[in-house]
Amino acid sequence: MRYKRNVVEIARDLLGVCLLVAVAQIPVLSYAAAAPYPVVTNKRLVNAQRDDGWLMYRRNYESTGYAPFEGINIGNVSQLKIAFDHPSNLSQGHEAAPLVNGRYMFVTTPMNHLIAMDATNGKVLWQYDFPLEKKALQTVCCDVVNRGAALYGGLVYMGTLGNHVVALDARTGKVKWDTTLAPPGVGYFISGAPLVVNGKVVIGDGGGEYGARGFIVAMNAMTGRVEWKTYTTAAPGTPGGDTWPRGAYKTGGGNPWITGTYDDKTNTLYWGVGNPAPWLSIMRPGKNLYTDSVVALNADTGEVKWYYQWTPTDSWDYDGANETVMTDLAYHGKVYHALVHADRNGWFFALDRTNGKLIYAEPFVHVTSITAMKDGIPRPNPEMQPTIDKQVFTCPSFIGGKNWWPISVDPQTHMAYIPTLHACMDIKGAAPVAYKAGLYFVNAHFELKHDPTTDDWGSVQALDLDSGNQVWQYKTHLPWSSGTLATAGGLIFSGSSDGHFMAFDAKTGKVLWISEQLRSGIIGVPTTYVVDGKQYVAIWAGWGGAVPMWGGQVASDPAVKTIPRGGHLYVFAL
Amino acid sequence: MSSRCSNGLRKVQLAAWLLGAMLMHRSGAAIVRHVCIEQVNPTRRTDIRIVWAAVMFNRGLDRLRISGRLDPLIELFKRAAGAQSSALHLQPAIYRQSAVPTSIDGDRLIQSDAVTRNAGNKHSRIPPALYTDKQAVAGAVAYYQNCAMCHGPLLDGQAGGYPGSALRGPDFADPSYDFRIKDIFNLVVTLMPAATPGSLQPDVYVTIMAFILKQNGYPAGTEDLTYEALAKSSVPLRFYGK
Repeated sequence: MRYKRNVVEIARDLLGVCLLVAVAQIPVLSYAAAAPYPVVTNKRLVNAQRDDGWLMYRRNYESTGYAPFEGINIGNVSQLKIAFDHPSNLSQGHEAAPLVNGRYMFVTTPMNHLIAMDATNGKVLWQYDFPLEKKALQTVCCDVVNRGAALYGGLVYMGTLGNHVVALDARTGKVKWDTTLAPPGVGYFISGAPLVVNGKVVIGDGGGEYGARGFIVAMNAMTGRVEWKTYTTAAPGTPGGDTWPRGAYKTGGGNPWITGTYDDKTNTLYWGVGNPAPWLSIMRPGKNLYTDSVVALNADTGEVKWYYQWTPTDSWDYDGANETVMTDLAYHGKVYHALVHADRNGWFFALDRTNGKLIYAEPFVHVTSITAMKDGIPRPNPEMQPTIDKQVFTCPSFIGGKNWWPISVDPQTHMAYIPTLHACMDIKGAAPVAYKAGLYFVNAHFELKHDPTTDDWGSVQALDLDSGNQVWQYKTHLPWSSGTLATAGGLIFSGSSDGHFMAFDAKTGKVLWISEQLRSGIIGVPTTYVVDGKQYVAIWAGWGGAVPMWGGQVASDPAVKTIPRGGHLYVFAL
Repeated sequence: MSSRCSNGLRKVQLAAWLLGAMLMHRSGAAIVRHVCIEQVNPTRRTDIRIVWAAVMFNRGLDRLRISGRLDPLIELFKRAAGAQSSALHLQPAIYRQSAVPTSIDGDRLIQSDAVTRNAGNKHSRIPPALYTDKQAVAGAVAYYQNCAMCHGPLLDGQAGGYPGSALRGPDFADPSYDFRIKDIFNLVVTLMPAATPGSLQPDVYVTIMAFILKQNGYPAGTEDLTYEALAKSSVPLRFYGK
């Protein structure tokens, strides 16, 4: 290697100044390719918060999306520039969180490509394109997205739209194992990032709109062998099994498609579960556990310890899979080890994570479907239940006050930062259709509409963790579909739908920096990392996902229709 | 349909064949995207060819934009127009595409009868004739107006770079699904177009279904397809093309 570097340096001298820019990257590349790959141990994952890299989807097991870096801060963020960028040459939605370990960055794209690059200059080290089964694409409801990879040992993991989980050698991209969790194209798909816990790769499936029965699986991280599998609709004879009409749990949806959270103190996974199928609750009377809930699972066995249902008798597609974040908070003078969650149904929940009891819930958007909490349980408004004969106009829409776009929780400000969609909907039942594998199992007509209380589609808002009350809100005409990132520099990063990456003052919401207009709108998850003492912030641009497909009036809004497409990774630094 | 719209289309038709012309008809491109595809009279075969040319033009444009090659190309024109930023760069990619087909062949989709005649040897039965050619022609334009933005002008869906599923081919009509025509039709009238489900006129849904059947190798016949027949048709949906 020493020899190689010398050759490169001599070559640089010979080539002269005119090629300096191009050649200057070669030594860096050869260094990075040769750089030892730091092994991702269990200890590093437990302490991921303090790592210089970004080792998992939401940075840490608590899922805070908060980084302790101060290199980029309130005082200098206005100097932020593009350090490097990388086009994916794909036109669908780019939702992934870039991961970084040492000098290695791992990003995923739509259609299950995984790219490893040098985290300091974007040089591609290898790229792996999963050979997707064409049939898999027949039952992917909401664009062919992927939200990111996971790391453990010397491997990098990705779930696929055809329900594989693959493990690749992080240095070379060579496949180490490939486990199939479900057949392709029958309703199931995987879009979320895996979570590695105690040497197990944990992941949940999607497919609620096709009546696929949800499950969470833990695989041996070294071999891919399935160690446990927990279905998230309860079968007869198991707890919650009596909450379904006969046989309905088999096609009842309840898909845990968003990455969960892990409490290493109690060895508990907290995982959100999606909506029941079909949509109208009158077609499947009962609580339909564990749909629209968070489940607390024993991470060794997958056994359910407790659950909390965000939306009982859901007829609105208020999928409960949104992430939960571990944080301590004080409510009415009492301190709790809490789990906070901004739900599709428009309520911000704080649960006691030791027992699943409600601490408080506050609406964060205009809500009419669920208007009250009673005895710690959300109470749907019976007036807003659609039937086959009855159309209702209710809020929020089926896309939710917040969809999968992750919130961040900042321990310094003690606030949660929520990407928000302000929308309502018309919804009405459709004539019942029998379940058929490969077909939508929805049985409803619906159209997303403007929220009559605001002209704006989107906002980023900050809520006080001790009360759920709004502290600040930044409103935009366009919808806001990018996750948020909080940093110790006093900043909140997130990206706008028209392609501006932005930094807000975490305390006040004041806009401190707006990037130049990037090549596409942003629906990605920003991450940040430090290499050689220098802080970087990474984000995919690449408009797409569910909003422009299913978004009714928001999808038809000329300002939304004109958002350009095309995936492009941007990394910023001072 | 305004004459201005029609002019815009013809400009773009030209541009689709002459790439250089593309740069000179920026406004034409904008008209095609925003007005013309939505206003074409859906009865004439020539109109479909023009729509097809516009769609292919937009795909080519998007491909350039997504790969970052568009800005350098139009730099001169931007300066001439005094534009601060690239108007084309900001154009909607309604007909976005990252991989264009190898040839721009407007007839490939609208004249697939020849393909269907050869399908008999792959299946035990020749597919029934369920719709008229006139319905399929109307359906083609309605498809481009309402469906192509998600399912792609070639009906190849995600495989072609679009977010929606394929509506044509052996995976869409995989026998293991055992889809019947009513299954797909009832789904389409309930949930499509995804952004505004149920918003099209019943006869428009019928023509779109005729177009989809045609693309999957079903031949045209002499009797009109009807909404009622589609809603209860147990005819298996299979792919009879190549």
